[in-house]
Amino acid sequence: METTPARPPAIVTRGLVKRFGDQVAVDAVDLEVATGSVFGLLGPNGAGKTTIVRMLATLLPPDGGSASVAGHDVVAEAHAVRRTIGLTGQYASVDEALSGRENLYMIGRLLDMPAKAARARADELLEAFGLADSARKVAKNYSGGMRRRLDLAASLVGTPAVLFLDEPTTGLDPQRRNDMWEIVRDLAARGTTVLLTTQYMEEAEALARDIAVMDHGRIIASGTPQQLKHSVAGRWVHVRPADESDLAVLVGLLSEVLGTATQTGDGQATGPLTDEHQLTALLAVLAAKGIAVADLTTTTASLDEVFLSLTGKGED
Amino acid sequence: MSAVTLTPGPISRAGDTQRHVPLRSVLRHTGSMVRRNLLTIKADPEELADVTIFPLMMTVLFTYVFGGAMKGSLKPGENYLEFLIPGIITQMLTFGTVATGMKLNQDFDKGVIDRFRSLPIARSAVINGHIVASMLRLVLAMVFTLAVSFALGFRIHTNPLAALGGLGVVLALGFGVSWLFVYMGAKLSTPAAMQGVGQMVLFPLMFASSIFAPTSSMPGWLQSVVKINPLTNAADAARALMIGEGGALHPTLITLGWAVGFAVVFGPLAVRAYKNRK
Repeated sequence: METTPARPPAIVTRGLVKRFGDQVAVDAVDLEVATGSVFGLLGPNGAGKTTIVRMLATLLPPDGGSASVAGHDVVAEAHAVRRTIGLTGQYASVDEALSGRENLYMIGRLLDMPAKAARARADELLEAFGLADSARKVAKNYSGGMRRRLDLAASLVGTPAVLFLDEPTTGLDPQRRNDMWEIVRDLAARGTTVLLTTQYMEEAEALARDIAVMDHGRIIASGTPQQLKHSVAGRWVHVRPADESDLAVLVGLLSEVLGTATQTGDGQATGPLTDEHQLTALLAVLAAKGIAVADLTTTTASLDEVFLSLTGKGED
Repeated sequence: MSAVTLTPGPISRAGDTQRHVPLRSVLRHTGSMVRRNLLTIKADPEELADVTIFPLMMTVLFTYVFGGAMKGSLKPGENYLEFLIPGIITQMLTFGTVATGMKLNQDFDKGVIDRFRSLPIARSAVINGHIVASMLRLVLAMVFTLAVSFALGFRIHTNPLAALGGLGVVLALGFGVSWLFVYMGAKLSTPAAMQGVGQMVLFPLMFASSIFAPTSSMPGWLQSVVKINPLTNAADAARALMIGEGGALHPTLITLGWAVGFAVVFGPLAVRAYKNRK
């Protein structure tokens, strides 16, 4: 979904800073999230993602810089921000002693809905999130996935224009994770701006239009998933000779043109592409040597590799 | 998913910079919070044990274990059960109000407060809800304890109105002390810490008071402490107003003074601690 450039961004931060004692949790972060888009804040544990979300959701005052949500400053106009947002935290924050229905009804009432409307809204959301059968059960007895869905439903009672999802799928099984992804896509398709934090590149790629990669409180890379892949890890070319006995020669030629090349286990020669002319040069060399090629492919490094090369650590 | 309204509504209006929640909304939000707290009791009735079963246990134990020994300290013709019941009602306020602080602390611990704080409601609604629910719980406990004590032979010797006044004085102190424990609930890091500190504050206050034994039976140095103890004054006021023992005015005024003092000092502190808690 393209947004018209005239619409102001839903979330803007400028030089946002948060310190906890000596530790700088968020270090001069600039973000801009387009209205109606899904934005992925990606980073390992302790990168500062949750701290940013808590500042944007008015739960934590910034120590420096500024942030606004839907045009409202998170400090000076916190109340107006709260009218606009929904928040689903990393740990499902529903009232365990209340039933699913009572939880949602309570939020509706707190959002100044008339009792009848709040009840109707609760039932509507319970139905939509597959919780209708457990509506009257106390949330303490819900499974982890059910609790997570109830938590998300609770943040949607007021149909927020901006939704914060802090690691919405951490700890969910693959089926439940896919359900959650569908919900996020659906919300985005209806125009909700979503800022989601995640430790999983796969998740950011699946959902987000734009991604910012965080580590140690800083944004270390940002852009679309495609831009991130290209900017950081480049591309690779893989060539399979028609005649297997040409493989060694082929590896030598690739190495000449690309600077380095290796032989893969399945009988291909492979090497990194660092500029656009290398592929043309490679084809010219192959033609000149008269080597018959069965297959030639180029691939982009996976985002997981990008993430790894940026943060210098694995996902887990 | 298809039928449900998830399309963002026109919640955010340009120029919507209102900072204060209108009083009517605050009252309604508080009402929702009270309802929430009462539903919590419904889901987990055992949590009422500290203001029902426990006082009952104390009543029975003290009446039958210490009742005989206490006779000498009482005025002629007075029986220990009648002396004890207004004290037990006062004692309930201590457990009841610590429980209120605990519940607020658990709300923080479980992340429920994060949700409330991200909603456009007055910050005070959550705390007010806890305080009001705390008062309702105390009233419930008083009704229960009185019913049981009537069955055990307790009688009011003044008149119903005065007796209600006595309960009112105890409730007033409960209201004041609630703010202290709500403050602690917002300030302390875990429910366990809250429990520990709460009891450390309460036990000496509870026993160094006229709840279980008349002040006159204690050594002089202790009496001076006991006499200023708010629990002593609340118990003495309740006694005067329920069974007609001693003057009512003096202990009532001191109790109300304490109640106002607690609320004035710890009310703002509690709201601040609640706002500033990370």
